[in-house]
Amino acid sequence: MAPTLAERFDALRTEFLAELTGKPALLSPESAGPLLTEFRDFLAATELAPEDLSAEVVEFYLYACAREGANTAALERRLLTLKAFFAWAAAHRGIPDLGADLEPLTREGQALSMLIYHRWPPPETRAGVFVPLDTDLPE
Amino acid sequence: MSRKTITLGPLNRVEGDLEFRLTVEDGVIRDLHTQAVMFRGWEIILKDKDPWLPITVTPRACGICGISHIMCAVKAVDSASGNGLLGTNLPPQAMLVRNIIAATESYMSGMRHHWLLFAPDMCNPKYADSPYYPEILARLAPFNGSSYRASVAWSKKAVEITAIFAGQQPHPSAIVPGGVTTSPSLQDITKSLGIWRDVVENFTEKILLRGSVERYLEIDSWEAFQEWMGEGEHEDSDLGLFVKFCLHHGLDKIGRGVDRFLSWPCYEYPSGHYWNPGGLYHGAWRYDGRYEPPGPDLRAFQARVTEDITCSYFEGTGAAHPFDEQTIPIRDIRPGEKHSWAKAPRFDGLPAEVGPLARMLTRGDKLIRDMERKLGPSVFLRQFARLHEVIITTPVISQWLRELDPRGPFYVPTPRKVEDGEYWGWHEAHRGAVAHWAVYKNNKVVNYQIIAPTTWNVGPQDSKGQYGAIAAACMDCPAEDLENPVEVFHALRSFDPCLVCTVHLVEGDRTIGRFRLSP
Repeated sequence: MAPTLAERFDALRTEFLAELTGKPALLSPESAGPLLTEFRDFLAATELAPEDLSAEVVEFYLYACAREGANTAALERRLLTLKAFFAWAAAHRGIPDLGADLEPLTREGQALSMLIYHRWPPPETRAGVFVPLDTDLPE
Repeated sequence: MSRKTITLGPLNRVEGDLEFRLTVEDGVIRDLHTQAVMFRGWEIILKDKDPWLPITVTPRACGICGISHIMCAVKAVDSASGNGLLGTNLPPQAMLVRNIIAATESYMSGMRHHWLLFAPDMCNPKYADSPYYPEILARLAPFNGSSYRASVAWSKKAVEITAIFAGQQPHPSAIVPGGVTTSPSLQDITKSLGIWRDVVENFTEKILLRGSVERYLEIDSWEAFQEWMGEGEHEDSDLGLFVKFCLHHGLDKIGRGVDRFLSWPCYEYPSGHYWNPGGLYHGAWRYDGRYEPPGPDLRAFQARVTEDITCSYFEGTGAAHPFDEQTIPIRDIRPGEKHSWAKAPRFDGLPAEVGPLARMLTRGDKLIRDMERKLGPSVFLRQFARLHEVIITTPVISQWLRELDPRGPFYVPTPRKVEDGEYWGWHEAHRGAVAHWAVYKNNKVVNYQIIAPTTWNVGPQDSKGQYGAIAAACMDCPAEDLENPVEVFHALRSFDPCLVCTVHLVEGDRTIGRFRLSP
């Protein structure tokens, strides 16, 4: 039986978080992990097929978070984490970068987004790809 | 007996000049002339122009509540273009976007009025001995107070939502006959929901309430409010500080006004209902607490409005309905009975107060009706109602944002030519009822009359000698210290007067500017 979208995402998520582990300057698995798990749960609830994953699904996920009461900082953290994840997945697994067109919500988010894209893939000699998302955004 | 006549002015902190001429006898104000000292010429500009022109021109009358003017101008054209009376046949999604645009602007106005325009008087040196003075200064001192600065920042955030849906703020042009020009994306809605949550968490709950909006919404009486004050940190919130200050310094006993409260229906729901159904409320303190809804025949309701120019710098005397009015400014102004550029609006021939207090009373708000009945109208209640409205609209705006559907539709095609006839559009600006009355013939404006909120409140006496709401409220204040009549300032500013709709066009015989407006 073919994997569901949520299962496929989960496999990538595990791989992504494993890559983050042990690289202290990168986006930490501790901050990214719960957010990606939340997105995985959302995908599972939608019962979409793997081929249905699109930028619109990501947009709708963020919209659903906003409806549930997420403020700008909470939305931005999710958005940038997903941008980072999809940028990584595009670079390593050849899937389309579904986060590329998602516009960050704040100036800080814009700056972090630039860092994600301009510094990917990370040069071996330079530490860090992502700035720590959980410290730089206003609450 | 000491009798003295003095002039106070300019009085309002927002644009547009206002002066008072007070006659005081033994510390009691016996007569008060409210004087709008700038000419307002929108009606003259719009005469013989394209009926759609007011949609572009009138929002420029004001940088603060310009959206309420565009709402009125558009509704008049909607009514004359087959979109139903006041646009009632519009797509529901268009109504929602209009509501969000207008309500977020109004929210901004409410915040700015309290912290930037009203609260500075609480820092008056007269209160230097007040037990609350150190805290008042720390929070409310102009430019430096912590809440003053926060109100600037967070009110700006609130109108970011206005700008997302209206393209710009101030002076947006996104509201058009047939709906709105906006077609919001899912990202627009997500972003707006996030911003709104930020404003509610960081300002409404953290500063204004020091508690949750949800808990505040449970309050339905003055006693329940006092109970709320005793819980947690509520007493130390900006609302708590305001209430304690007002009660300690007797602001609940001055500035009563005319005890008749008027508002127009506003914020339409697709069901045909309004968030505020509007109407006339006869204050329970002086009258019988009777509420008159506008009823199904809105035309009959608006027909009860007149404007009196007995004391205004316009040719003629007496009162007329806006459809029948003319605006002919007097060129040769001499001292006498006429003393203001504002006209004196009347409802059933009587003055009325407009603003957040009127809205809360006409919409049947339990807490405000209870407070009006038990405490009577005052500086305190008028300003309290303003803050109360800021709080209770937060879940409403959230709900409207949630109901938005990017699939629309947001517009129905609307003919460019209007039907001949008499039409009007109304809305509630934050500071009160605003309406435009338009007479169209052969696709031209034959007559255009605007009654702005401050015109209702600040208008001069009429042919029967009746004072307007602001004059009546200020005459209900002591005036013992004419060098620093802070009570009069409180009473005046509790109405949030704004005379920015006035415009400099004429200076004697000299032409200051010449404009050609073509369709």
